[in-house]
Amino acid sequence: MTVGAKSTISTLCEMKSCESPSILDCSHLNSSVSGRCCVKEKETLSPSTVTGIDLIGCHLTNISRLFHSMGHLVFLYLHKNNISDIDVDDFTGVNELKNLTLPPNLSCPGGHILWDKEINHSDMVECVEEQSTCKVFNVTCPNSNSYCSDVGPRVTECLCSPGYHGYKCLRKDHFPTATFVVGICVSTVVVSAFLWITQRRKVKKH
Amino acid sequence: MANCATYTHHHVAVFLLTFLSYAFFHATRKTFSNVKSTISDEWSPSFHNDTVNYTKPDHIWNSRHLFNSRKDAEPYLGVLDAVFMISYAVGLYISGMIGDRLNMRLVLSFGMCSSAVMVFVFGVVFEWAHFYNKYVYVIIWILNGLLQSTGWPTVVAIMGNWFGRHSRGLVLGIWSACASVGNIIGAFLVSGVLDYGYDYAFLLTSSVLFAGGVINFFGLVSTPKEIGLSLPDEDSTVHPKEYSVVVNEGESNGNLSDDGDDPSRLINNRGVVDNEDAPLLNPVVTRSDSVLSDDRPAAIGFCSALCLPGVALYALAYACLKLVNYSFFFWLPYYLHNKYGWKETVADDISIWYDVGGIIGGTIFGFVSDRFQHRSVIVIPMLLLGIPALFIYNSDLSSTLTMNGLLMAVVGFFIGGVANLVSAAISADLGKQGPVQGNSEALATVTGIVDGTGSVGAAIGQILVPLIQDGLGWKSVFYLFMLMTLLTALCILPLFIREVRDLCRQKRVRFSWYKGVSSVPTHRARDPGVQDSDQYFD
Repeated sequence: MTVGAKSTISTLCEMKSCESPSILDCSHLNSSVSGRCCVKEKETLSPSTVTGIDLIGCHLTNISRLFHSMGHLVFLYLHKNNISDIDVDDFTGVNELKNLTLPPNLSCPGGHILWDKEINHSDMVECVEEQSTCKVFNVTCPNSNSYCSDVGPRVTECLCSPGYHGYKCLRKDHFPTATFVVGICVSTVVVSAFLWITQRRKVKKH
Repeated sequence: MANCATYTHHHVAVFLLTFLSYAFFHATRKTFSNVKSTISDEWSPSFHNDTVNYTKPDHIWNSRHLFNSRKDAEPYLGVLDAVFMISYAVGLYISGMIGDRLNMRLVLSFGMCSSAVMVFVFGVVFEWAHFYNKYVYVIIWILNGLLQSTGWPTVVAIMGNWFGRHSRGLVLGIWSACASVGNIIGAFLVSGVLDYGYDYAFLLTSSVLFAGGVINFFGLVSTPKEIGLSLPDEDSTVHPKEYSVVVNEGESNGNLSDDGDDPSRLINNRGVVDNEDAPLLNPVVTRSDSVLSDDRPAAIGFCSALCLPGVALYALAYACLKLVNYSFFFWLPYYLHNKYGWKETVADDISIWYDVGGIIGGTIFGFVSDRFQHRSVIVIPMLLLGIPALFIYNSDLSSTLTMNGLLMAVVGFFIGGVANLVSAAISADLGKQGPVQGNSEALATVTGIVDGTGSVGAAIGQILVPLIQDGLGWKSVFYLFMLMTLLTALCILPLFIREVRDLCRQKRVRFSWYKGVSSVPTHRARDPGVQDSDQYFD
């Protein structure tokens, strides 16, 4: 986590320019209040520990890169802002949203199939229960040594299954190179010595 | 006749060491074949024009761009195969000559160790350094081909030094299994470590080959003379003209030196040396002289070797035969997959039966030809029987796995068996026959010539088979094989005719499986004035 990220999230949570105070109920999320955010109980504020952010009416226009890698973010309220457009990239690393609200001109990131429900209210769009892109699109990975992992809405990656590594996950475990080299050297020396004694010792020198 | 008492533990050691040396050479070649699929994965990205999804992350799936896709790597792998075969064929001619001039043990050890280094660089160093370059791969593989060619001529020559013509057929027939055993060892080693990465497959086989080279350096005795034993065919007091090997019989009646054909290397039939350079004298001299001489006989020149009786004919014949042998073996999995839809692993397993048939055939033909003391009389009938065998194999009789394996073993018995015989026992005979026997080193040169020409034929086959198959189908490919087998028989026909005439002329001949062909003793043999082409045997 960079200094920039940390300061971004602090800026977000301590935003003063919002029209009304935060409506998040952090206790439901086993979290404590931190400004307009909920942070996991007993953890320090960081993108990976924030569980809820309320940015209703905070005069936001652009949300790109604000929410990267917030893997445990469950509630995110963004309505009553003048956001022109959103992209799936804005939600990279956000996979667990249960409730996302957006200004009414926007649609749920990734499309409605990636959400359990997409509800259009008069003043906002509500996206409920983010689904796993891997499951919804039945993403298959190139080979059987890898598995699909969600990166964000509509964005997945194929990672190597446990035990496999390397390019295209083709390699399994680790070859005991040192043992092998020692073994071969010792065997060669032993066999060479044995054969020299039995075969070549009597060779006449020219 | 060689009896068991003449075999020492040295013979056992030489047999095993040469057997394993050539087996390890083959194992490294088989490694490349078996990792082709994995290596083309490692050279290409996952995403290309044909795939639908772009898989991330890039460093796992898309960071290698030597080729655009797996399929694009296939022609290049074919190029690598082709350059290897060409450099191997060229190298065979050279290595044979080198083997006869330098210490064979050193040539073999050097060849094994340096080839191991090449394979190591190709498979391990470049992968661990993540260095991928198409041109460098080709260069390394050319060098590998040249260095691997040191194997066959030297091991056959060394075996020829230790096993005389009475047992050569049988012993070399069994010994020829080394190539197939090497393939099996290679396949086994690769499948054991391929999961760790293809570089470990190369590490394993190249280390084993290198170790073999070191062991050979310290433990291989290339000729019995090195430890004071006599060469196997010197243990006879009969006039050498009488016991020159009959690979062909017309030209070895000793007139060679009279026509001015490189007289410095050959001796005339009166046993007088034409040129003082020939280190060994009159072959009528008793064996003690030749054993005591520490000087190695002068090596024969390339053209003289080519002009040796039977060499050119057998080289051409082997070109045709190796075309069939190699192409059949190489294209078999592809053919089986196309015709019956069987998987490659199944086809690989079945092709072992071809090898098995070849080993059994080579051994039996070797044994029988040892008894007859003539090789071509066995070769021709077996070749002719191979033609219907090929035809039957291509028919519908081989549609089940069992029948296919059985018929393949039959084809292997005839075709592969003769191929084994020609490349080993017959090459050894050709290199140790009448004019050069005991007087010149020609064994490795001759083996190199025969196998080199054979490899040229095999290389041509590699190009012809896909062309014909594309244009005319598999039936035509089999017709090509049958034609080539017939051509092989035609090349050897002159020798066959002479041998049959010779065998028939043995009016008083007794044949027993124990003693082989033996004639009732006559005094005709002792008369040097008789201008005859009869050969008599011990």
